[in-house]
Amino acid sequence: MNLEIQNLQARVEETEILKGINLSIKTGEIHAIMGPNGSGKSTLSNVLMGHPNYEVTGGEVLLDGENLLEMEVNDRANRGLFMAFQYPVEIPGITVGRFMKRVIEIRAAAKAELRGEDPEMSKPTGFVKYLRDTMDFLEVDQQFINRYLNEGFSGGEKKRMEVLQMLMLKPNFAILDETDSGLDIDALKVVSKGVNKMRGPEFGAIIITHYQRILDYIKPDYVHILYKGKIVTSGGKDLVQVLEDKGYDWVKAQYGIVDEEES
Amino acid sequence: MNNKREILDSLKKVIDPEIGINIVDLGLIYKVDPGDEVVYIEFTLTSPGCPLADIIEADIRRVLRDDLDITGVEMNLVWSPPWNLDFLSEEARLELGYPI
Repeated sequence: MNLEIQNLQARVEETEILKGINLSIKTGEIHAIMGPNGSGKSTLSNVLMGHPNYEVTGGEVLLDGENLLEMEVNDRANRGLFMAFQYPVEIPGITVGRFMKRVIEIRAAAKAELRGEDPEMSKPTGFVKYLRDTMDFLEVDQQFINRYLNEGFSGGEKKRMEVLQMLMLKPNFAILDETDSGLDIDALKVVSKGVNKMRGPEFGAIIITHYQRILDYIKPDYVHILYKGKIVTSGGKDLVQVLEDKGYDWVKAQYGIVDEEES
Repeated sequence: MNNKREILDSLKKVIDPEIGINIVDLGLIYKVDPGDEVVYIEFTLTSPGCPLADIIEADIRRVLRDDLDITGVEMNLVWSPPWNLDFLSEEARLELGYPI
């Protein structure tokens, strides 16, 4: 599958945030998007997933040639798009187990429907064993199955839950919005292990981050630097090191970016 | 001889209309004996006097015939042991909001 972002522009209220993003992602590829605060990283992920507070003012996004921006949020998910939230929400009243079971069933039914099969007959079997195995893999205590989703979870536990959902849902494209923020090194390794397990010809990812750290564990195929709503440069994973060594000021100098506030 | 696993998989398509969960995960199937000629199935219902016995029995015959081409089915509705929540599979427990 492929995800084509063409000249994407978006705003929140009256503030123009994305000013023409071009990006092409295929399954099998891991892309890292790095950028300082306020560069538009989270706006990009929210627009891709369909957050109602963001208004697309230009450009388009095509998922296998189809207009993604016209799809409802649940359709995007059913078509294989997934987002790991920067700030996962707490959902009291719904246990992790019940939530996972339901979303897996919906995804399986959607997949069956896309293949032209009867969605009623697509109920996954062996779900609980698979959930338990995946929780073990992510070093999540089995007791979490019976807890309300994210309620009272630590930051690291919430992020593991996002990755657990990704492994269970097996999306075709995952957007990880600063999944590394606030994680200690052990949690970071577990999260990375989860993403690396997904790697393969049927999976592509956009890893959004401030820091090099997570990219030590998840080697990206492509790295893009986002600055003031535009991708100012792209490269291979060597770019991560350059950025880490020289900082975002180097990016500004290199690509002739002038801060509007200062000019 | 029929395969017990296949029979149980097929029976998972029979949904208890009251609860909306299949009879296997509900723990209503007490015994499946694939047999040489005739499949023997012992099952119960969630409560005695449940009016759905005929419907569930007809559904069982239907799925076994459609899925596995089995026409010889002997069924026995039993009330011992009485069904209780402990018989639910983990998946059914999750579905109904019980801890596992």
